[in-house]
Amino acid sequence: MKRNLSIAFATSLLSGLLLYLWRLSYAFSDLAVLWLLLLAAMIFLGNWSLVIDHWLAERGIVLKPESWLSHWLSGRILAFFSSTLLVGALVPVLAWQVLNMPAAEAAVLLGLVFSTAWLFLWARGGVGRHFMPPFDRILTLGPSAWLVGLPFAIVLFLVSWRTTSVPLSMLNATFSEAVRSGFDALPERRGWIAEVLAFGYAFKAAKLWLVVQLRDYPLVARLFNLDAALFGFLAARAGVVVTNFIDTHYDREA
Amino acid sequence: MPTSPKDRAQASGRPAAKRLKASYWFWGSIAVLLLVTLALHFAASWHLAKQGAEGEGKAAKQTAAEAEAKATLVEHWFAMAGEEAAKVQAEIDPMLDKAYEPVYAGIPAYMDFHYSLKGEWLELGAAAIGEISSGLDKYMFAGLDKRLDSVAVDLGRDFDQRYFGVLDRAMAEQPGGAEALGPVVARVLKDSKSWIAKTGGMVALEAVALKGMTKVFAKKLGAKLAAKVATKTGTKWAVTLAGGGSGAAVCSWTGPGAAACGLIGAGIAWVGTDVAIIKLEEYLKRDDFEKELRALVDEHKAETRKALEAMLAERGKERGSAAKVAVGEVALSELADADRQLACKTAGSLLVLYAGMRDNLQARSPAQVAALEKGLRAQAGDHLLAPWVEGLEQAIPALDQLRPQVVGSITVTVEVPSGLRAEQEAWGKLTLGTEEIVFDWAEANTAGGYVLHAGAGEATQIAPSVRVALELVQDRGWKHRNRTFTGSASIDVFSTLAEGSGLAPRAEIRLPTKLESDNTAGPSAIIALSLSGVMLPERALPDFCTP
Repeated sequence: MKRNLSIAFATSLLSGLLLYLWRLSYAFSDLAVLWLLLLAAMIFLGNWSLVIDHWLAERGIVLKPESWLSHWLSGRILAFFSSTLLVGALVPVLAWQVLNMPAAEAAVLLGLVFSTAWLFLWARGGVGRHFMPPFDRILTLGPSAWLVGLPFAIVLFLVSWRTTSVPLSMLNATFSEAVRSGFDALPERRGWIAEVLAFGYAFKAAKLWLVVQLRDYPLVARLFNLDAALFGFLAARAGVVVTNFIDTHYDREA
Repeated sequence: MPTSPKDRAQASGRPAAKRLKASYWFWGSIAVLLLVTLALHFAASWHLAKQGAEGEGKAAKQTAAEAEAKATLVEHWFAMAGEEAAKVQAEIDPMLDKAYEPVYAGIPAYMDFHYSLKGEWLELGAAAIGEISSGLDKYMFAGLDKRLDSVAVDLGRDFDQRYFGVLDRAMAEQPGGAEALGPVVARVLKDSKSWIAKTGGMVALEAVALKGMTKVFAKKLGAKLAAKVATKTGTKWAVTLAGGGSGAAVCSWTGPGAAACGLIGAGIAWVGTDVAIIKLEEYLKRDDFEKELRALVDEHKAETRKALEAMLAERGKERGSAAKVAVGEVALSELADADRQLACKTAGSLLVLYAGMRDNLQARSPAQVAALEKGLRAQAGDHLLAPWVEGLEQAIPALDQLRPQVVGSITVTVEVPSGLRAEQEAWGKLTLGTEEIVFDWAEANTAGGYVLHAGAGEATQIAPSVRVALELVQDRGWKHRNRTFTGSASIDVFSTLAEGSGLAPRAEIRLPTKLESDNTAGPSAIIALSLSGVMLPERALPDFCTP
């Protein structure tokens, strides 16, 4: 129990601090990406071990150990692509969201990561009594992310609904002005990170513009706020993967 | 068979005490990250403070806190621009002096016209068709409207040049220029500039307002002239009838032509009497009338000044509102309600002005009433606010009815310098616009001064800008002749009232006097008036603004 809590705390603090440092230092330098690289490494390695252990377990069942195919079917290519895809999807979204996140949303996010981590570790203990490794972790991963992601997605939706602010001037802005005002939030020095983040800002500005134009239909605004809920699921998935990384390394001796 | 992590450590051959668990590395990393966070926080605060000291706006902006700082920065720029533009008020006086110069210069010419047979008859004829002010227009006010228009245009242009000058300079120092402030703020600026280009700035509104004032003034002066002409005409008819009667008697020898002869006699008597009366009147009253005319022009000039000041202030407010809209925000959950919220916010600010006017006499100056009316007009087309605006407009009476009334007693406290004290009685006559109030003789008090009391009689309305004149006669005993002190000034009644004056304030007007005989400085008088104003109905926010 104590170990689970320690790992859950370590996961929340490491992820939270790295993202906060990114937010803090990106205002001044593109080198802030180093903090994201550390987070990306944890996600990559966390996912790598999950995918490759799963592959090796299945390969051990279907392939004879003395087969020369086992040298080629190591699962590394699959793990690499899977982890790269996950990092590519999660890290830019996390980075962009964190840059624009109000304090209330950040607090919810921290709670989400801690809950996901703790639930994953606790459930894995229970599942581990019946299932062999690595299937205990593989079987726990999805439900943990969903069980925490779903309620937190609702909380995030509500918090975002109340804290996302729309400039009054947007009431009269044209679409292109709205999109340009989105780009305006990027740092003046621009750079390659800004180019990547520009998509997020443009999307957010366009979404706000549409919501403002259709302000007489609150349902539209609610639908468009659903991306906050989607982000909750992504964050839960990232939390589980990082927890897996820390969990698998926590007791190792360096 | 896979080895456990512990086995792997043992296999490494290092002593157990030196082997650290990875958990220590994790917590160590967390501690290091915390320290780095604190250090970065400190560095960021120091960096921002340094940039703030060196000159605003060079910070790279990304975080929410910085976005907020940016909004504050824009507001700060707008405030600085407003302050700079407000300095244009200092130009009002010299510009008005220039615009009114021909008016003052035309007074002697108008006097000559007024006290001439031609002028007399032309004014009489004009009075018959209700155009008594035509002589005034020709000799004094010709071109004044145009000159005042030009003053308004110049002031407006100067206001905008100063306003946008500050913004442009501030933006030039900002890397990226206006666009760096965001397209929305940039558009607010662009819209304002194009609005000025389209409408010629303040001309449209100001010219109408100033023309209205000149019309009212001409009407006021015309009424005065009509009264004079009527008095003179009455006198002349009496003399002419007498002349006609005498003429008929003298012409009785002409037999049947006696009537015609009498008419000619009456005509000669009319013209003769007219010339004589005009000359006599000119001799007796020209100086007084000229003074009165100058005082009225002074009053008009003061009102014009007030109107221009109010218009500049209003312009500053409009710009301030534009800035607030440019940087204001509303939550996503409040978006469906944004229009209502904006309408309620606007209604709230208008209602504050109205409530101030309702509760305080000092808030009923023409400038403040005009500002409120302008604000209401601007919202008259708003689909949410239109009915409420209509109700509020109906609650505001005409400017004439909003004028303060003098009620109750009037006290004049006279402070007499030691060299002029006589320890005897004094009396005085106070002229408030067209009203004359005579004070009874009062004994000198222990300080050698006087306190004169008089009742104002019926409540009398006074103009916002009123001519106040005091004549003070000091008894110096049987050995010396009485001394007369006079003093006059054009007073803006509203400026004598303090903020939050209430509806029954007491106004104090300090008036220096001069010795009539040699123009040396005399006592100073403090005129205390009890004022009151009409009650205005209570108004509340629109129903949709109350939960």
